[in-house]
Amino acid sequence: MYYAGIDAGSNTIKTAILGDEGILSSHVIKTGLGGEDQALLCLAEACAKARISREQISCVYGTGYGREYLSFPQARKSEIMCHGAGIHWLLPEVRTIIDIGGQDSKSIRLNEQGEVDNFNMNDKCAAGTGRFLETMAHALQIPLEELGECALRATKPVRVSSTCTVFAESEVVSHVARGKKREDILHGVCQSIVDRIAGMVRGIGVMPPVAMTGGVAMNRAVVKLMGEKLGLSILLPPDPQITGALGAALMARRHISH
Amino acid sequence: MSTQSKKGRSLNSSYQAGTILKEYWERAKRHQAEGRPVAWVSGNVPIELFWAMGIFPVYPENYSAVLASAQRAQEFCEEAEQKGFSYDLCSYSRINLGIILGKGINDPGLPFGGLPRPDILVTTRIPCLIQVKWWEAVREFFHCPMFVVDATMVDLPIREDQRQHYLGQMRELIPYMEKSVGVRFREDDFLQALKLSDEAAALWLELLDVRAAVPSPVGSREMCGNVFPLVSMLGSPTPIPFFRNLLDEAKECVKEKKGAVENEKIRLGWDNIPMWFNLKFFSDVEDHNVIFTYETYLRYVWGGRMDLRDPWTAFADKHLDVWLNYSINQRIRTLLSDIPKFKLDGFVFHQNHSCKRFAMGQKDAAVAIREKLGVPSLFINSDMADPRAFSEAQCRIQTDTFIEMLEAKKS
Repeated sequence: MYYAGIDAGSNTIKTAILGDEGILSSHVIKTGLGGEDQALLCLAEACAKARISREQISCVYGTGYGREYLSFPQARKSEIMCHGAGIHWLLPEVRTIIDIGGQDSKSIRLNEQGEVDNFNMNDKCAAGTGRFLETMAHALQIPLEELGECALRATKPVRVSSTCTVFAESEVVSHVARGKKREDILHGVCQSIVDRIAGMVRGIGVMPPVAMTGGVAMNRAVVKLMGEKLGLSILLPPDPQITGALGAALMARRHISH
Repeated sequence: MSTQSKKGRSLNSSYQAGTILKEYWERAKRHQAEGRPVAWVSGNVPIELFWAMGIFPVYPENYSAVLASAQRAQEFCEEAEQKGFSYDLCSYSRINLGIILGKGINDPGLPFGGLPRPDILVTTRIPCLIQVKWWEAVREFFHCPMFVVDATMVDLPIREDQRQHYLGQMRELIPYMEKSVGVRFREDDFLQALKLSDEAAALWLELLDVRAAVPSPVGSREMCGNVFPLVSMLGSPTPIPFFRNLLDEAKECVKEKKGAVENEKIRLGWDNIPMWFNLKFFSDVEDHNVIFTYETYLRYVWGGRMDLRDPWTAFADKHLDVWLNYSINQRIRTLLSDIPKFKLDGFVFHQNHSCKRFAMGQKDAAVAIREKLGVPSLFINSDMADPRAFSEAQCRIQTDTFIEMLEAKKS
């Protein structure tokens, strides 16, 4: 039997297809303005990769900010619960998850059974989210996916202290004007997001092992700096971006088996 | 302007609340028109004194909450901010100052025809410190006398020196009010006001106790709409029949095992002032078979019982024994005792941008109830009146997750 999870996030839609033996495929597309059509397209692409038809899927669960707008999933679950389920399946020893998505960041504590025991989120601000990195990448004219690698080449990191994303962008532009190197500024950008999120994670108590999920977990500089800040090494799932969709697919599978 | 969508009330008597509110504000205007004195007061002032002395106590805080419920808070907050008052000040104060410094308290576009002008300002340091500065700003505008009641923070039981300090304040306040607005204090009237206050408080507290029943007969949204007479009218007869009717109905529901929420599965508590602009937050969760059935704001802020065999002691103790005057340890002890009594599965702390005094110690309380009772908490970051401090999407995901987490824990 086959099961699907769709994580309709603010930036991207992620789909994971699960079979009885494990993950069959996943797919990620930009959310855009397509709404449900875009989610169906993402599901169709994931089905094609898995070489199955949409009709062969026994159950679909939706998650993410856009889950309420999807009519086709059998049920909807919050992404925090889905990230918990996804990580517990991939890395069962993990007790703390740091999920940094496009428009929010979350810290999640799991108990020994892998159930969500506590969580918190960033406050009403983009400073601790993927959007912050996107804005800075744009200001420094570098593709988002290269930002982390570039930051790791820093030799004299600068400090980006503004909390507000817009003011931080101005600060970055000032550093450029003063002749600071791009990699040094980007290091400051990554350190800024880490400082902000570390405080949030400590708010629920850091219980190792710690894993990172969400799109920002693909930024190696953020992962490295987060580990240094918390004084531990950070575990990463094979594809951090699809953890929520995988968790939703696992819940769909549980739904059918029950 | 939009209004919040409403579900039907669980108790029919709750529909009287709107009428009582309207009559209160009309009566305040009439009182002034008849040449009698009006005081602007704040939460936790010794309310019974005002009713006993014929001074109409007007609550601008309540008026700010009314405007927030009507989705009109933002315009007045912005007005105050444009006049130089910081966004970081309490939103009740910004709304009130926005009214005064904007089109004024008699603006016909205001609810109930506006606010009556104050003849005297009275406040207390018990719930709030900003309130003193707020009243000072109001005094500069209206040029009226002002009195600030001081009180010490308490760890129960209340000590004699704390009680005497408060009563000393009353010995100053009473002649000050007599002299300032030309009224007389008569002890018989005061004792009668205390009797009425205690009778209303007894009914209210019993009503709250009845909500410990499973299923709960009435949720937080409805009870927040019913609290107004307790805030502003203790010492007058008005709250008594209203609370008695609510109590009788609630008891009947309990007897018939009729819950406010069909198939009640999860019971929650709430700390801090509600989001008046978003009371539907409380009723939205009911779609998931969840009920809010306990609130520190409704239980420990307004009406305590008094042993009238020693009226002055009882009066002092009632006004000192309030949540906003408790130490953090006292708040924690209170929650640890009440959460099992009300069979709560989870607790929601409103991190109210405006009310630091209320938000103080919430994190410590959350840790204590998790460690000692195994009850998880959720923090909602918002405001009691200013909707700009609220993020719908983030609140939604946190609430949904919290409910899913509690469901998984119970299953």
